[in-house]
Amino acid sequence: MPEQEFEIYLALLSKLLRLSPTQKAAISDELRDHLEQRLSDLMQGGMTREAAINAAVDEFGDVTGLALDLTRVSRSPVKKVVVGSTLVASAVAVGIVCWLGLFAPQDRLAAPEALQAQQIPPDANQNGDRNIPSQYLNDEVLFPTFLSKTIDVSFEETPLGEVCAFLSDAHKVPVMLHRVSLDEAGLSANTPVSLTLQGITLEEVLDHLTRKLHLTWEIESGGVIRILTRDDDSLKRFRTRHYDMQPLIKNGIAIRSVEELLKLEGEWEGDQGSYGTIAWLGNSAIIRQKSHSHRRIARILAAIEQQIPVAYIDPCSSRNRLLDALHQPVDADFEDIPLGEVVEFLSKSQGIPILIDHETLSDEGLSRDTRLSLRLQGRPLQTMLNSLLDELHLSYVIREGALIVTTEAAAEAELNSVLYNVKDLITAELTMDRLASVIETTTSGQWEVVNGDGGRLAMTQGGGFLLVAQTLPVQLEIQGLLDRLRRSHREASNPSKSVQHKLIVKAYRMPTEIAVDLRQSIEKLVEPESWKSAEGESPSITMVASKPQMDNVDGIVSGGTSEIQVINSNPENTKERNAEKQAKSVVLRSRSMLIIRQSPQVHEKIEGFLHKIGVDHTTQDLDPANRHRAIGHW
Amino acid sequence: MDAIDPELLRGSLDLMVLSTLSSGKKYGYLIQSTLWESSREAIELKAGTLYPILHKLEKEGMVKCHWEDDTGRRRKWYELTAAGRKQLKRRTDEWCRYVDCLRSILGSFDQVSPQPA
Repeated sequence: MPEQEFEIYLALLSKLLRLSPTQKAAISDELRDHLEQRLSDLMQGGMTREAAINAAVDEFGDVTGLALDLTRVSRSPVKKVVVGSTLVASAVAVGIVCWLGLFAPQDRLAAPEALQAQQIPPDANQNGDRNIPSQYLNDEVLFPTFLSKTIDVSFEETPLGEVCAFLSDAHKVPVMLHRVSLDEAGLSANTPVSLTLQGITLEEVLDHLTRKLHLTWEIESGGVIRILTRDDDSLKRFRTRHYDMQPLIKNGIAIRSVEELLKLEGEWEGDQGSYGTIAWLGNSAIIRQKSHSHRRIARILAAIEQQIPVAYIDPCSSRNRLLDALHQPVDADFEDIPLGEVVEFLSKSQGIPILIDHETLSDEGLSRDTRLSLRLQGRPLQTMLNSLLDELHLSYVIREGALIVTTEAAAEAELNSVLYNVKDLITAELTMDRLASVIETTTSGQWEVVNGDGGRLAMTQGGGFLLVAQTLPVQLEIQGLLDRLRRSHREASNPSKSVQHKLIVKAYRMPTEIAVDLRQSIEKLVEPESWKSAEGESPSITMVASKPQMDNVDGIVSGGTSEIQVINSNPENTKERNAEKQAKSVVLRSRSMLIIRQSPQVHEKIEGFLHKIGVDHTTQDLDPANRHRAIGHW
Repeated sequence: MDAIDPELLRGSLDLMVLSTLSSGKKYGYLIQSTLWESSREAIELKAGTLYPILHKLEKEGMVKCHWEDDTGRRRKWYELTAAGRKQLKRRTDEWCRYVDCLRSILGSFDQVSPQPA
């Protein structure tokens, strides 16, 4: 009979693995084989059955760590050293999550520097007067002038062939269809397309048109723009270009580490048989990629060279206007109002186009008639949208000059790449790795390394650059997080100010379902008057996800995972440890933290309240004055 | 046998795993026991470390695997690919050079016994 304890362990592991059912089953089968063999060997060696079961499971270590490692290995397209780094990262994550409690609530208005940062696109054509144009963008092959010329377009069910003729004429450059390849995709010059936009570059027009039809476009040698299918992986679609990385060395970057960043863009050898490659020759990278990816690579390098704080890699001329609007406050009092009307109201009050992606929503059984309720005063549009859309599993994207409300799944298929310069935040305490962990564990998005699917992140060694591919709402969360970190740095360097207001920050860690309820109700239940904004900083509540807790582990799951056990001359150690343990059952409970900024008196009342209603929780003082104590204590 | 600092082993774990496969195909548990025996019981690679390494090597094309059912339960066997064999050779050479180099640097100290010729 298979050991029940093994099955519990394997079931828990399966639950934590973010992989396909087939992959999960294969891993379970493989580990079961190992466990059973180990059990039989240990028993032959004289161990009792119970002790042997414990020892066999124990050797696999912490189930969450193992799940994370196995998921990472299976999902990660980048060659990475697996051993060690992930465990270290997950171990520090808990400490760091607490540290975040120091910062102001998530949904306050964004700090001015965020707004300013977003105004700077890494695009030479819009940016030329701000900085010396980057050598990476000063490239007539990748960025010919005609691509950045703006134009007004208005196509209404216009045949694709006519659209090409119009663009050719307007930009004095041949725009042609690859008819054979389109034919295979069931498209032709007669396929109708619609697009209406003003003051838009040719590059964006081509991006929008081809995205709609699941096509792509290339500039062929001879300067012909060719629209073709995305799966044309023939070698002639690839170009080999030489990137001198010398300018990056000046910024303190270990240039080979840039490879990891660049590999977030485009397809590379080994991924589904395409032919992107990168080779190094001294300080130069020789990269073979499709020209679309080359343009993105050049933009990343330019943003690094120019030290741009927040650089969106995809070109989009309407983005800044829309991002500005997302940061503007708005009042809402919706009581059972159809989504369509809500969106119309927000669109009018903020003066930007907000539309609904009807087609995608209807796949999920939603429509503009789906009813919503929300009451929020003076919060940024971004917060409003998050609160409104979250429960319907909706999200938003910037597409074709408008903010489009769509499903989370559709938004996740349109990740934005943003490069962050975080050099000023990096300290001995907050290393790049830790910051990456913080971002992955505290933002609401899905992450490939954590969830098996979703956003990705890569960083440079030295220089402090972080490239993140994520949905727009998550990018905005990241920017908010970085702003709070910066504010906290400033506060820490100016302690006299932070003493003035007498609010202190405490983190209450408890089961997620209780945290969710309390987040809504605690302001009404404990000292309601005290939550109103007073002078100086206001009280606040923020909820962040915390590490899940293993309950009733009783020895099945060991505490830390040491990756290798080196046996010394005293085998007693292991025996003693095993004897202490009695395998029973494992329950994984999701836990969250309520990070509350309040006066010490109110904190005392909250503590009393939690005890009174019998909430299983732990409390941690995260007052800035005690910051160094808080880290690592959890 | 004296304990070895895990830090020292960190960079060479996958090389060790590859080397256990040089004598033929093996499954996970067998790889672990082979390593244990051939290290004269100095190194016990924990199962929780071994499997992520094996899966990584598989993904990198260094090893290939197949399933067999003839023991009554499904068992996953690993064997070296041509690329894995090449990698093993290259990294073994690299390690031998490193060890030689280290030995000649540390050779003057008493506690490092010189290698018999």
